[in-house]
Parts: sequence; C-alpha cells; structure tokens
Amino acid sequence: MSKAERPGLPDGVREVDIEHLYSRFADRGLQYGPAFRGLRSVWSHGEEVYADSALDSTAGGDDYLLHPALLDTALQAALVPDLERDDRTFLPFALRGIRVHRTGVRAVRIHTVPGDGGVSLALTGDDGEPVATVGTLVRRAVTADQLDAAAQRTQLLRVAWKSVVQQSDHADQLHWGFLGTDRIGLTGALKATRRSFDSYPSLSELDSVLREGTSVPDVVVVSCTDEDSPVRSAAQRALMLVQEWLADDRLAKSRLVLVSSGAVAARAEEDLSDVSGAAVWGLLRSAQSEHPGRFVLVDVDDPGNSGRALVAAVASDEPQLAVRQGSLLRPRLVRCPPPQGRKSLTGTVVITGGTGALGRLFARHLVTRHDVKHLVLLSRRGPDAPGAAELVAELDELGARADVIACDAADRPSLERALAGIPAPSAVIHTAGVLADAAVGTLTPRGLDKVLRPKVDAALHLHELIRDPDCVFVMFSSVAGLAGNAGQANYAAANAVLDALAHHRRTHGLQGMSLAWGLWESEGGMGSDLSAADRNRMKRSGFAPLGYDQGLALFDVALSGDDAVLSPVRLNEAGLTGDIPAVLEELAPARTGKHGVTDTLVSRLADLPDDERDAAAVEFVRAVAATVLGYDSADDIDPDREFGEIGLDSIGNLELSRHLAAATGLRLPATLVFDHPTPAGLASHLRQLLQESNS
Amino acid sequence: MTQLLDDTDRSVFATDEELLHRVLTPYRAKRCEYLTSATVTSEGDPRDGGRLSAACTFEIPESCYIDDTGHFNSVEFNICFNQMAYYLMAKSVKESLVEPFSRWTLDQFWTRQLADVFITDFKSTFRKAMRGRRFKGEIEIVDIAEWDANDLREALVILRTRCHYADEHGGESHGEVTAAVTNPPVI
Repeated sequence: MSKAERPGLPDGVREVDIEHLYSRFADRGLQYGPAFRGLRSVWSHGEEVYADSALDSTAGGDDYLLHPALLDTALQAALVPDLERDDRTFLPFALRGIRVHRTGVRAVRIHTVPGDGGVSLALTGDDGEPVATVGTLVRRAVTADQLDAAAQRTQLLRVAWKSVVQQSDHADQLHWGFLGTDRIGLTGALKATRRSFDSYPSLSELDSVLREGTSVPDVVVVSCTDEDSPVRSAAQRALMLVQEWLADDRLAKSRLVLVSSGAVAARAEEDLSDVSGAAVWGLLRSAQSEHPGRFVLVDVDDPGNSGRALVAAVASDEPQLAVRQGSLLRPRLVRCPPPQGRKSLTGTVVITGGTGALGRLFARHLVTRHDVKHLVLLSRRGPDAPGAAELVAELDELGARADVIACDAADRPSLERALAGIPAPSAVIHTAGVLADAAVGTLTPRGLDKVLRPKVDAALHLHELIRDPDCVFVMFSSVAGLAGNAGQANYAAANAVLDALAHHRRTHGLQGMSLAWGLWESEGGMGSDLSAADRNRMKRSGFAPLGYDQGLALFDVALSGDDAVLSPVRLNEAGLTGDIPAVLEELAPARTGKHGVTDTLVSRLADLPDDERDAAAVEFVRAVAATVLGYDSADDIDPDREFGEIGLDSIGNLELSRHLAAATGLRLPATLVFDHPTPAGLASHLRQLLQESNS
Repeated sequence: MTQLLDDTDRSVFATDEELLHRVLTPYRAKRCEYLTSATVTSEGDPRDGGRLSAACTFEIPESCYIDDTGHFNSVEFNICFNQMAYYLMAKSVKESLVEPFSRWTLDQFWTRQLADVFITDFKSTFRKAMRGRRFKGEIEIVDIAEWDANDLREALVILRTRCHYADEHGGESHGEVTAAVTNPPVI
C-alpha cells in the first residue's frame, strides 16, 4: 500500500521493506515464524513508527480479546527504530497500561511514539477507532551471548555423585552369595559382614547347588574388575551373565550386584583405573532400564573393607552407587552452568568419522566458527565416501585444506599410518560410531563388537597415539551411556568407555573430554536409523532431538569447560515426569521449595553479625538462583556473572523475583533482575532495600 | 564341486558324498541315515545379513523307533534337523565358510559332533501332515554367537537356525531351533 492510499500518515515518512525487516530481525536472533509475520507495511518517521498489520487467515483464535500475534506486530513495529541505529538486539520487556477497546479485530493500524521510559502504542481499526492502547512498552537490550545462553539453558548436563542416606541394616536377614572369581578381594569383606553367605565359583556351580535344593540366594555379588581384562572381554562377560541371569526363573527374585573398583569417577580428581569396567557399567545401565530391579551396580574404592557398604548399597534400592570412604554416592545428571570464555580450535584437527553426517557438520563448523586451517578427515572409505570431494571443495572455498584419508581408526596400523603422514594435530575429534540395537536378552557378542569397534577400539588407539598434553582430545559419546537406553546395551557400553577414557586421560596429564550427546535431529547420521517409535521412546525419556545449530553452539560452550564428561542435550521436561531412569530424576523441573527458598532472608540475616550479612545475602541469592535454574548447588552460580549468561530467561527472572520477594517481604519490581543483573549486585540491592524498610 | 557365481560372494556347494557319509556314520548302525543330499549355499556372513543354508533331500524307508505312523512326526523332524545341522557345520569347517567353523579342523569337528552339540531351544510347527517317504528340507543359519570362556562359564557357540520340510503332496512343517556347541577348540 502506498502512502497515498494509507490515511493518517504524516509527510516525510519513509517506507520500510517488510521482507528485509524480518531478515534483519532474524540477524539479531529474533526469528519470527509465519504466524507472527503479520506486519504488512511499515513506515518510519523519525522515532515514530506507523504500520499496518493483519492476522494470517489460518491464525484462528477468535476467542482472544486481542490476538497475541496481532499485538506482537505492534511490539515488532516498536523495535524498528532500534534496528536502524543500534547493533544490539532489543526485546519487549514490560508492558504497562494496556487497554483493549474493541475485540475480535484481525487487522490494525499501528502508531508507536517514544515517550518517557518507553514507547506508547496505539492500535486502531480501518475506521480510525481505537482497538487497543499500550501506555508504555519498555524495551531492553540483550547481547548475542545472552541470547545464546538462554537458548542453551537446559542443555548442558554433567554427572554429580550425591550422598545417599544409609538405611538401617534391614537387609541383614538376606542370604548372600558370591559368584565367580574374586579378583579384587570382596569375599573376605562380605564374609565378615554376612551371617549367611555362599560362594559359587561359576554359573554351573550355582546351578548345581540350586538343583540340590539349596535356598536361592537373595543377593548375588559378582566382581567385574579385572586388570587384565580388555573392554571387549569385560563387556561380553557382563552380557553373558545378564542373559544367563534373566533366563533362569529360579533367580527371578534375586538381585545381582555387579561390583567394580575404579570403573567410575565419583570425583573429578579420581583416577579411573578400570576403563574396561566402565563398559560393564554402560551395558548394565541399559539392562537396568530393560529389567528394573534385577541388577545393581556398585563401584568401591576399598574392596577389602566394603562389606558393610555393600549391604547398605543393596538396602538403599538405588540401582547404581559408588562407595567412597564408606559413604554411598549415587549418580544424578544435573544441569551445568555454561563455562565462561570461549576456546577456539586452530591448526590441524583430526576428525574420525570425518565424512559422516556429524564429521561433515563439525568440519565446516571448525573452519567457519573456529580458526582451523587444516582438517584431516578419517573415514573407512576415504575420498570414495559419498560427498567427500564436494566437502573438500567446500572447505577449500572457506579457506581450509581438508585431507580425506581412507583409514579404519579401529585398526591400529591403519591409524598409525594416517597420523604419521600429517602434522602433529592440535585437536582430535572422535565422532565415529554405529548403532546395532538389540534387547539385552538377545544381543550377541558380534552385536557388541559391531558397536565397540568403531567407538572404543578407535578411541583407545587414539588415546595411545595422541600423547601431546596440549592436544585437545574430544570424543563424541552419547547420553545413552549415562541413562542406559533400553535396547542399546552395546551402545551404552561403548559410550561409557569413552566417558571413562576422558577421565583417565585427565588424571594422566592429558586432555580428554567426552561429550555425551543427546539424539541429533540428523539426516543420514546415526539418529536417522531410529524409527518413529524409537524417537517417541526417546522423547518420553526426557530428551528431544538436538538441532544442528544447537549442537554446534553447545560444542563451543562445552569446549571451554573443564569437565571430563559433559552431556549436551535438549531436554523435554514434560517427558521427565514419568517412569525415567534414576539418573535423570533430578532433571525434572525444580521450580519450588528446595533448600532455603522458603526460608526468609530477613530472619537469616538477623541471626548474623553485621560483617557477615553481605556474604550471607549473596549466598542466599545464589541458592535461590540455583534452585530456579535447577542447578546442583549454589556453587554453580558465580556471584559476579550476569544471570542471563548462566541461563536465566525471562520466566526465570520472574521466578527469582517472586522467590526473593517472598523471602524478603519486599515488593520487588519485575525489572529487578534486569536492573541488578549479577547475584552480588542483586544481594547488595536487597540489603539496601531491607535496611531502608527497617529505618 | 563349487560353483562361484559371478559378481557376488555367493558360493554353492553340491552334495559332498564323502563328507555326508562321514556325517551320517553315527546313524548307520541304527539304520536312520535319512539325509540323502545337501546343497550348501553361502552368501556372506549370517551375522551381517548374509545367508548360509543347505537345501536337502531325505528318505525315510521305515521309522527307526516306531511302527509306521503314516506321517512325518516330531522325532523324525528332530533327527532330520540334526543331520542337516551336522552336515552344514561340517561343510562350513571344510570349506571355511563362516567363523568360528572356518578356524576349526574337521578332526576337531568329528570329536565334538555328538558330545558337544546340544539343542537348547526347539520349536516345530506342523502345518499339513507329510506322508511321503521322500521329501525336501532346508536349514538356514540365522545367527552365530561365539561366547568366550571366562570364570563364570565355559566357551560356547550358539547357532540360531530355521528349518523347513515339504513333500510333493503339499505336506509341510517348519521350525526354529537353537543349538549350542560346547567345548569349542581353543585356537
């Protein structure tokens, strides 16, 4: 519509290109979907904006007083002057004085006028009669980093090992047995603790004893750590044992306790000496998901003195536990604040699975978003892999050299040859992997090998060959290894080994990071093998597929972290409320009352000497923020880092304000967190408000 | 005689009379050598989607354990299955068709043929009674699981198979059988 046809426009208005307008919004991170692209014409006149907007015919929603998509177009119009003069992104932040004069309107004329503290909006109909007015729209600038942080809010997880309160010894009457060879010295400890205890050197011995009419043991302990056992043997032994156990109806009410030592790191500094045992953990996590209540995993730090703790472990009913200095710890995935800073990869980077879907994605990413100039892409088919030549050409155009080398990284000589012919890499990214899903009861050694080989064999070879302490060493594992996806015992075993290897490397002065990805929203990658039923199952388990951009952003964030294992995922919080593995329990949205939130800051400060009150106020704000964000503890909240950077979104802001208002008895404005964006600053402000209210 | 078909990894082995004679030796004294021919087809590894099978013919002049029932019964189903399975394993050893048998010698197989091969799961279905003395059968290895020895259990090879029988009068039966081979040679 030209100016001549649009009544009410003043002289000197300038028409704004609508298509261009939405692409400029998108450049700032504001991506409007079709239903919200309702602006039809926009004119700017200095700081004022005139616009016409209309709802899409498919928009529906006649029940609204004023359709939100229509109101949103007025907010969009109000942002236009900011686009013109500022590189920052502005977001509508608060609306005051909203009046709806006429309902059921599907098209409006908009006029925005800057005023004191914001912008006023007038929405009128074709007849010039008012439809709605907004007294003041407050806008706030956000940085790209803040938007990124908000996008990643719930997507970086880590494993926290948490104390379990030990039950009184009600399991004392149970009949215990030990199966197999005791390589770590558990039997002495158990015999000392248990009144009723038998040993069965093998499954056939157990069978014979049961045939003779001996009572079926309630609990059978088997040792799973053997220093000489390679990953494949440890995993196959565990798989065999699981299948034999499940197939024997006589054992249906018994629990099998698989005990390892050094197969998990309950603390970052612990040496993870039994990498093979980690495969047992991964495999059994899936077995636990498929057959709840049948298997218990326990990792002990002092096998010879673990009798009492093992009894307590079984009594706890937790499926997975670590015993450290006599205490029981259980693993829980928790949200993790995004690490600060950004690490940029440079130099030569080796990618295994380099021509696969993820390999290609990350190759491009390292060239475009990092400073990598040389990529070595390893894949079994090498240059003959589909799309390899095009990828090389594309990377060349982007300014990087890419060598695609035919190399089976699981074959040590092949990998050695490939690495010998290239400059010393500054980073290795191990993305290779395949799926071969099967229920744990039908999985075969071959099915196990098929998955272990490309993931674990290749990772172990890389580990042995990459000894430069500065070489970044990233392995792509899967949350399946932590959560124990049903039907993926082999995959869980393989990924648990990668997670363990990352720990192991760190304790030996090398770099190591395992990224336990959630499902990727991929075409042609491993995720594409999943059926709709698999995806639905995954969704019900609390995870949603990760988009490429989300995954890449999480990679960049994780890279600057200092954790051996981080799990970049998209959570489907609605799926976290049902029957989920214990390790996921704490990811369910924790919006109310954990530690201290219902406590009042006033009473807490009143009990303290004056010189301790500032610190206590900061601690209080951190604790409340941690609760709102679902983080593990107040320690995850840096007092001087802005809330937006650690993932607090607008809903979180409101919750934090609400909790703090309840805790202080003060009326706090909605802009509280925005005006005082760090925990330390906010605490100081609250202290000041409390002092004023007392005086 | 081996027929290797062009452009595929498919090999077809006509009946190996000498091998068949040796496989059926344990049955001779009992007069129940029912398997008369077996053509083995090997096309890749069954564990990777390949196919290893034997197309067989049988003749049962008279039952070895019961008066003539007039039809192919489940005991005969089982005996015929055993003879097909033994032959297919022996041929796999001799021609190195599939692991782990490709690593075995025939002598190692003969010493294990009777003592170390067990049926662990047996399912037979009889759709329509088979009445002919002569009929056809087929066995296919669906999967082979090779379990290593450890402190908890001896080494074990598990074969999952499917089999099928039919006569010219429209009689038909089929089954799914799992066999375990204990005491596999340590190589």
